Amino acid sequence: MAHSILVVDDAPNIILSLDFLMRQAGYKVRTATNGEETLLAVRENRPDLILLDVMMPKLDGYEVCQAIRADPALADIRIIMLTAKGRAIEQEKGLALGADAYITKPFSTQEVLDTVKALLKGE
Amino acid sequence: MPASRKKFWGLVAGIILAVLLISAGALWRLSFFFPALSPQQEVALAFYLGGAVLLLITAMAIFGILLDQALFRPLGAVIRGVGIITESNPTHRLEIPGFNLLDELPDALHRLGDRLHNSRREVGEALATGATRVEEQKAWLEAVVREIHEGVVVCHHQARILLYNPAAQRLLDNHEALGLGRSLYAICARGPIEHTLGMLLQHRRDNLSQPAAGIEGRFLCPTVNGAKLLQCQMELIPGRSAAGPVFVITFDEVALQTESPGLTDISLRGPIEALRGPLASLRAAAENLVAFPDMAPVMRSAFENVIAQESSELTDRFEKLVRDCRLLTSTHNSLTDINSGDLFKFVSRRLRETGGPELASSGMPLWFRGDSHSLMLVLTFLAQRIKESSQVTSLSAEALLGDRRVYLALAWPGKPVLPAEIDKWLQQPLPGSVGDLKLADILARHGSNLWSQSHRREGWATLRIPVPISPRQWRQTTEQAQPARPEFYDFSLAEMHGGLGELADRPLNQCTFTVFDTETTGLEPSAGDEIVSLGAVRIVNQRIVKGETFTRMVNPGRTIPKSSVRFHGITDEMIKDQPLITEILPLFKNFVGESVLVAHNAAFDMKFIQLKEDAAGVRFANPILDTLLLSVFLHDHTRDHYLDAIADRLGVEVRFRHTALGDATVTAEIFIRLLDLLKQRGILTLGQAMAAADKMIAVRKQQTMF
Repeated sequence: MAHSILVVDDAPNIILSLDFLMRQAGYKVRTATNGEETLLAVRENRPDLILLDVMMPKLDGYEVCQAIRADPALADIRIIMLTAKGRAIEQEKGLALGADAYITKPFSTQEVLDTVKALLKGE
Repeated sequence: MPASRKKFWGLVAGIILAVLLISAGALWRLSFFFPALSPQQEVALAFYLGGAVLLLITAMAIFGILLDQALFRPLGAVIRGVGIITESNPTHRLEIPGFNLLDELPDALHRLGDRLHNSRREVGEALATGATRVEEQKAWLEAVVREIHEGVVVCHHQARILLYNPAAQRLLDNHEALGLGRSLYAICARGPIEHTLGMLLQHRRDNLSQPAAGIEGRFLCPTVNGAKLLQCQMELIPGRSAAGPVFVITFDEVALQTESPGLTDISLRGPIEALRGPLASLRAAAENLVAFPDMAPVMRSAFENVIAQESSELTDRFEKLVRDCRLLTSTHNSLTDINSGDLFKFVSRRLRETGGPELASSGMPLWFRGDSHSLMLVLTFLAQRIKESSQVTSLSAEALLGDRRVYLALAWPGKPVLPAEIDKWLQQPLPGSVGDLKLADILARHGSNLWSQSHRREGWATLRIPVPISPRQWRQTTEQAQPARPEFYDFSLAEMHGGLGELADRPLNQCTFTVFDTETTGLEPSAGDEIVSLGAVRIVNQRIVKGETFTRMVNPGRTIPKSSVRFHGITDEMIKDQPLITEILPLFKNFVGESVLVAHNAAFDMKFIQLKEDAAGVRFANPILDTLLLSVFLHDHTRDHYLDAIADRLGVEVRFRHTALGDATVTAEIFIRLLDLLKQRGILTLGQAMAAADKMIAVRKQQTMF
C-alpha cells in the first residue's frame, strides 16, 4: 500500500510543486496551509510522513511538531521540517523538538524526495 | 657666647679663686707650717709664695685666653656658620680667626657645604625637569583626550564625573547635567552602567591572583531621554580611591540611532530568509518541469506561472535586501567576552533582590560572547517565568560546552515548557532592556534562540539558550605541558651580527631595545616547526614604552600539535584566518627599526625568524642581546636561568606567561634590571655587553654538559 504524505506550507506555489512531486513518486498526498489545519488533518487520518513548513500563521511548525510528539498515538509519524530559517541554530531547535529531518529552503526536489524515501524505508 | 665657652671661663675663674683662697689661707697661717722661721724669713717666704701664686694665676689666665681665642671663639663662629650653611647658603665660607686650633674642620665643613649645594641643585633641577615633564605629559594627555573623537568620561562613586572631553559633550548634545562632580546617571541609563561596573568589580575580586583574566566591559547604553544609543566600553582604573572604584567609559553613538539595536541583525536575517521561500518554489517548479517533460499542459502552465510570479517576487525582495545591507552596522561591537560564572552569580543576586526563585549555578564556568546586561535580563526574566509556569522555587544554572556554542541552561524539576508558552515569552518586551527589546530580539542579536527539553536528569526539564563561544575558552589553560625550550648555542649571535662598527661604543643607556618573544608549533625550527604568534615591546630610556607593543597571531601553514596548544592556548581555529609569517615579518621589521633586539634564549627565536627571512624579503641585521646569556654572565653562582627563575631572582612580577606579548614583557622587565647590574659590573656599552654574552656561550655549553 502506498504511503501517505501530508504537505504543509502556507505558500501555495510550493505546495503545488511538492504535491506534484510526491504524487509522481507514487505517494498518497494531502495538503494543509496552517498549523491548526494540520493537526485536524493528522487526527482525522494519520499520515505516514509530514513535510512541515516552520513559518506558518496560527500554530507554527515547532508547535505542530511538539503537539504530534506529545500524542503517543501519533508518535511514529515521520516529520521533515522545511524552513526558510537557514541558521544552524534553527535546525538544532527543530531536531530537539522532535523532527526527524530538517531541510532548508531552497532545496533540490531530489533532496526532498530522497529524504522522504529514506525515512519511509526505515519503517 | 657659646655654652662651652661660659663653662670654660667659669672653670678657669673657679680654679683661680681656689688658688687665691688656698694661698691666702697658707699665708695667714704661715707660722703653723713653718714654725722655725724668723719673722724676716716669714716675710720673704710670703713674698715669694705670693709672687708664685700671682705668676700661676697669670699663666692660667694667659692659657685660658689663648684657648678662648684659638678654640672657643672659632667654635662659636663655626656653629653660626654651619647654621648658615644648613639653613640658607651652603656655599657660605666660615668667618673664623686666622689663629685657631680647628685643623681640618673648616675645610671639611666647606666640602660638606659644597656637596650639599650640589645635591640641592641637582634635586632642584630634577624636580624642575620632572615637573616640566609632568606638565608636558599632562598637556599632551589633555590634547589627546580633547582630540579623541570618542566620548571619554572618568567617574567614581555613584558615577560622579571626574573628567570628560569635548567629544562627550558633543555626543551627549551638551547635556546640561554633564559637569564635574555630577552624576552620569542623570544623563545615561543607570542599568547597563551599574551592571557592567558590578561585573568588572566582581571579576576583579574573584580573580585577584589572575589579573590576566580581566574582562572587557563593552555595553550598550541609552541616554535617559532616549534620544541616543551609545556604544560604551568601561574599564576600571587600577587602585582604589576612598570613594570607591574609579572607572573610565569611552563611548560613541550607535550609527542607527533611531532604530533598536537588535534591528540590524534582524533586518538582514529577515530579508535573507524571505528569499528562501520564493527560491524554493521557483526551484521546485523548474525542477519538476525539467524532470517531467510529458506532464499535462494544465500542470505545465501552472508551473510556468509559478516561475513568472516567484521571479518577480524575488527581484523585489532582492532589492530590499540590498537596501538593508547598506544599513548594516555592527551591533556585534557590543558583544563582549563573558564568563558564565560571573553572569550566573549576578543573575542569582538580582533574583534574590527581586523576590525571584533561588538560582544555584553548577558545573565549570565557560567563556562566551554576548551583551552582558541584556543576557542578565534574559536569564532573570526566564527564571521568573519558569517559577510561575512550573511552580518551582529554585533553579539550577549551568553552562554547557558545544562545538561552536556555549549553552546557558536553566534546569528545574518538572516538565519542559511548551513551545507555545516560549513563543509568548519571546514576544514579550524585556523590562529594563536597552531600546525596549523583545526577548526574541535580544536572542537574535546573539544569533540565538531558546527551547525547552527534558533534562538528562530523570524528572527534570531544562531550558537552553545557545550563545557564541569565546576563544578565551582555550586561553584559560596555562599548565606547562611542554618541556622548556632548548637553548641554542650552535651559532653565535655575534658572528651573525658581527661588524657592530661604531654601534659598539654606544652606551647601553642610550640604546633603544625591542624585546620580543615567539610562540611556536614546537621546538624544532629546522624540522618544520613554525611561529604561531609574535609579541614585542619597546624599551626607551630604560623604560618599557606603554602602548607601543607588537602582537600578532600567525598562520603557521600547518596544524598545531595538542601539546603546544596546551602550552600556549593557540588553536588551529584561532590562526586559520591569520596572515602568514612572510606577511608578518616585514611588519615586525618596521616595528623593530634600528633598535637592538633582545630576547630570552634569543638564538631559538632568531632561528625561526632567520629561516623565513628570504621568503619574507627582509633581513634582521640588528644587534642582538640575550637575557639568558647576560644572566649567566652576571649570576654564575646558579645554573637556573629560565625566565621564571630569573624573574624570581630579580623580583620581577610574572604575568601573562606563555603568550608572546606576556613573555616579551617579562623579558623586558628582567632586561631593565640586568642593565643596572651590568652597569655595576662596568659593562657600559653595547659592544661590551655583547662580548660578555658571547663569552658565556661556551660557559653555558659546558654547564649543560654536566
